[in-house]
Amino acid sequence: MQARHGDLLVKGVTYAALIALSVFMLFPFVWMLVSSFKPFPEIFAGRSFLPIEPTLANYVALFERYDALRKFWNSFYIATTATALSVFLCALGGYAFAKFQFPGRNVMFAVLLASMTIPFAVLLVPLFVMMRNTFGWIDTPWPLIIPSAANAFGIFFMRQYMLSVSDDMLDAARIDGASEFGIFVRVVLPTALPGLASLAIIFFMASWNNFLWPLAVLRSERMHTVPIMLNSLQGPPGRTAFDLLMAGSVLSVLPMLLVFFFLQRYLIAGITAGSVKG
Amino acid sequence: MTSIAARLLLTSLLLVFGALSLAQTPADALVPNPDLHASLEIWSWEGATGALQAADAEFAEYYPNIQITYVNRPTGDNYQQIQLGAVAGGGLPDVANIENSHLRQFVELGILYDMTERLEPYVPLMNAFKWREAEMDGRYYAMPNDSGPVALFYRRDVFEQAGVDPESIQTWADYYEAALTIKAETGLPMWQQATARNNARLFEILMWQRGAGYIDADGNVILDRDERILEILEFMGRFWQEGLAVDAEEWTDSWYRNFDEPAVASHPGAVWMGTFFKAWIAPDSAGQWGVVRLPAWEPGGSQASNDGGSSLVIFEQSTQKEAAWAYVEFHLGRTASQLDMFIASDIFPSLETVYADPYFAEPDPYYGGDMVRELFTQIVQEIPEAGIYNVDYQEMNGLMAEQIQRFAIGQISASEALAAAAREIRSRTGRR
Amino acid sequence: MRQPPHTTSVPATLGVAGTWRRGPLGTIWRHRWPLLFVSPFFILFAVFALYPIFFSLYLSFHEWRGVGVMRPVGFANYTRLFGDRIFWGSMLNAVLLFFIYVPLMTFLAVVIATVLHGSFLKLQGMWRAIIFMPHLTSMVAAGFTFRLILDTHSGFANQALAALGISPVPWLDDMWWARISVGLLMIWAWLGYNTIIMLAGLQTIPIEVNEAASVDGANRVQVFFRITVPLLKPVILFAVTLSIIGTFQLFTEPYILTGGGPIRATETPVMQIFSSTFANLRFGYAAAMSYVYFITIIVLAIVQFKLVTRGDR
Repeated sequence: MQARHGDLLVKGVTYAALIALSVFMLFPFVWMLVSSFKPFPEIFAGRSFLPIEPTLANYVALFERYDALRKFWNSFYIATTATALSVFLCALGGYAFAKFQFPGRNVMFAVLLASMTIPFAVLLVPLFVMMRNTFGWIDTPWPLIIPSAANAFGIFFMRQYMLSVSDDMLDAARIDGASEFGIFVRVVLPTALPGLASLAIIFFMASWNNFLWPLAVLRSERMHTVPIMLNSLQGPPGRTAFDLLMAGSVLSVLPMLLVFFFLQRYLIAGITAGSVKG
Repeated sequence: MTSIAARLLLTSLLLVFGALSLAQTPADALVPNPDLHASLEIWSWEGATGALQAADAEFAEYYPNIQITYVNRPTGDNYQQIQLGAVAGGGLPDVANIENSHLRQFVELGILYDMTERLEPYVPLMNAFKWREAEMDGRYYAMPNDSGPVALFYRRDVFEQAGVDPESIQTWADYYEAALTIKAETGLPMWQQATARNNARLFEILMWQRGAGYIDADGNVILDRDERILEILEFMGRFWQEGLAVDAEEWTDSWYRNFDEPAVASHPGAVWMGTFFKAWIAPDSAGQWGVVRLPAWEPGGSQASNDGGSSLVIFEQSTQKEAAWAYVEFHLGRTASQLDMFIASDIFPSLETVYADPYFAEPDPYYGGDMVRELFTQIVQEIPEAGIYNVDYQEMNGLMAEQIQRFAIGQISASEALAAAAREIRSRTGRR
Repeated sequence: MRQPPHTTSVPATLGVAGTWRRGPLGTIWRHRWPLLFVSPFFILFAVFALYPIFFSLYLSFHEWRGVGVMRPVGFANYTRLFGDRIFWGSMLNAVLLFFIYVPLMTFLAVVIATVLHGSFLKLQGMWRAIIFMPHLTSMVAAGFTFRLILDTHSGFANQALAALGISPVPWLDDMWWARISVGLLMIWAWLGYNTIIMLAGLQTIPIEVNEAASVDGANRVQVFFRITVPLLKPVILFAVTLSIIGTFQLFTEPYILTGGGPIRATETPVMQIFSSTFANLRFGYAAAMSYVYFITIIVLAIVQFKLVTRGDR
């Protein structure tokens, strides 16, 4: 990389601006963390930034009174199941669109693209009624896993990725007599692993943070996911338990931060690839 | 009268009286029943559950094989979950505590257990106005839990400092004058009323006091047709316009602190506010609050109103209705239970037989020794009929609150607010 | 002899079975693998998207409380909807919110991406990570945190302003400030995402273009506005389209941060559809609402697309 001849002033301003921006970005996290250790009166007293009497009571209360462990487990297994299933099916579909010629392929792909414009709100009411009447899936994790299992975004994304898989490798495998499905599992999937990882992170994050649809279909408390648990800590009547809320928020953000720090590369690559027109 | 006859008369009178006071309600005559096995789920909210739990220990003695699990949520969430349960055909609990404001819509959804035969003996024993929402076509679907008789809470220290005698406030005009005096002498506002986040509850209390409401007895919207309602809204407006109100949203931290500091002189509210005062809003202010009746609108007019109050319902979906009824009847129909609940929580019983207990004749130390409990028993029996709680209450309250908010921040006039609310309520609920 | 494409020669001995292989069924059989692979999407799409869309249309011509009888009411829901001040107010709110935060956010994203792309910066990965972190947060958690920070009386924001001698701002208690607060939350959450998109776009611009401009004597700012931005136009268009759709789908952020208030200033169309369904139990009306909303979004997206690409060279 060449060094550019920059003005010292420009550099200085740039760094200052970036620092200011970073403060803006990081501050809510810091505030969340700091507040989670404050007892309730301190949160609103606004007297000091750091807790005067730091306490773990908020975290303890979440686990003892609100059964937070179960909610985290719910969020986790729903996100994991949905991600595994979705990544597999989207890879399958993406592979087909990328590497095969078949009649109606272009039309089908156009339908796929068009389907991405359908906003969820249009489907909210009828899907909810279907979950109840047709499937009996209210209060189960299935509405959060099945409908989006093979979704347009994922297939579009994987198709971009699959385009770069070498045809020669595929033909060689066919000549060796492998079945198409076998080729997919044993040749394509391993090659596409980085793309799969990116998509997996995107899906996991979407499922972990999902709010509207789970709010509609998960009703009994033992089925709640973490965002719904946070929402239910609100008053009225009675006060919104901001102390518990901050503790819960920290806990809900932690897994995603961990994923991010270790797998940053894949996540960013995923978003980058998704936005470059194929 | 001969002495023998006199003694006979006296004895028979005593027996009759004794019989009446011993078996005041059917539930008072309940005997323990260990044969009922069940595990009940009950939906409620924090403050209310605390009250119900006060009777749980005795309940366990009478029904040792019925397990109870409470699920607490913010009230709005409970109602949404119940609607979802109705719509989704499953997942409802056995029993739920429902505010009377929202009760009617569930009755009309047809998801509640018809308890008419079981409830009939209790109808004359509980506050009459509580049965309005629970009864449909002659059938009863809910049992009254608590009522919300409204009075005026005031800060003794602030009133003293301003030289205002609370007993001198007989009408709302007097109240307004007192507000001006208190503002001049102490700089404090008279009441807390949010502007942009007003929830219309005070407005509803004042309408109820006058026997007015969103609708008349035929279900027609009268907001823009009743002069008294316009008077109410304009009266509220003066407090905002003249700096006599502090803008704080209910159930927020600032609202609590204003009660505690104090940063406000009074609060027209229901008896259950006392529960929250004592518990965590202003527990250290014992002795600083007093209670008097609401000022009247005209001399000699009604000084009673209602805000809130709830009932217990059993869902038709429940497979444990016998046990559920045992729970409901024991907690709400039994004098001793309701008394325990009131003593523990200040949640005011709808069961009138409780009022005869000597506890109600005692002064309340939190209110500086005022005979507050007795006052509320009187108020609760004077509550007028009003068209506030109905099947569309939720929508009406939302639409009205929005117009009050616009009025409060000065965007529109009071009559425009009422006209707009009336128009939208008619359109959305299909009324005239 | 020329053979038509995509056919295999069939032995004459197969007879009837042979004809079968040449017809449409045969085509499907020949392409059975790719068709099988894409079938999960189309099956799920048909069941969970296509069918519901038609069911929703059907529902919109009825009145239904979610349980019990569905009453056909013809176009009544739609006529009522066109006069529904609250619904159209929510649509207006979405438009207002869009203009409040999208232009600023997109501009910032381009600037930041350009700065990050410039190689004089150390620790590029770190800056990128920090700017992207908010995107990972659940909007429920973020919404509650912002609510605390922006609280009028005891929030950190006003305390910081007070330290600078500025009087408190009613972040969540005033109609316009509440909209700005939602915009603030959106910028916080989405700036990183948009920056990554812009970075990807910048990486497709050859370095030589910028170098040629610098040699010609243009300074950084001129290079930015005259060269970088126009070349990024397709990417910017893509990001803005995503933002339009995203803004109109807003639910969680205003639901948690402001509850739609004050005075419905931050109520969005999806919040209206949600409350019509689950709070007021008016399923038919909610279905009609969602249709009008759907068509409006499509129209807006097309209009925006045409407006921006009209001036393309």
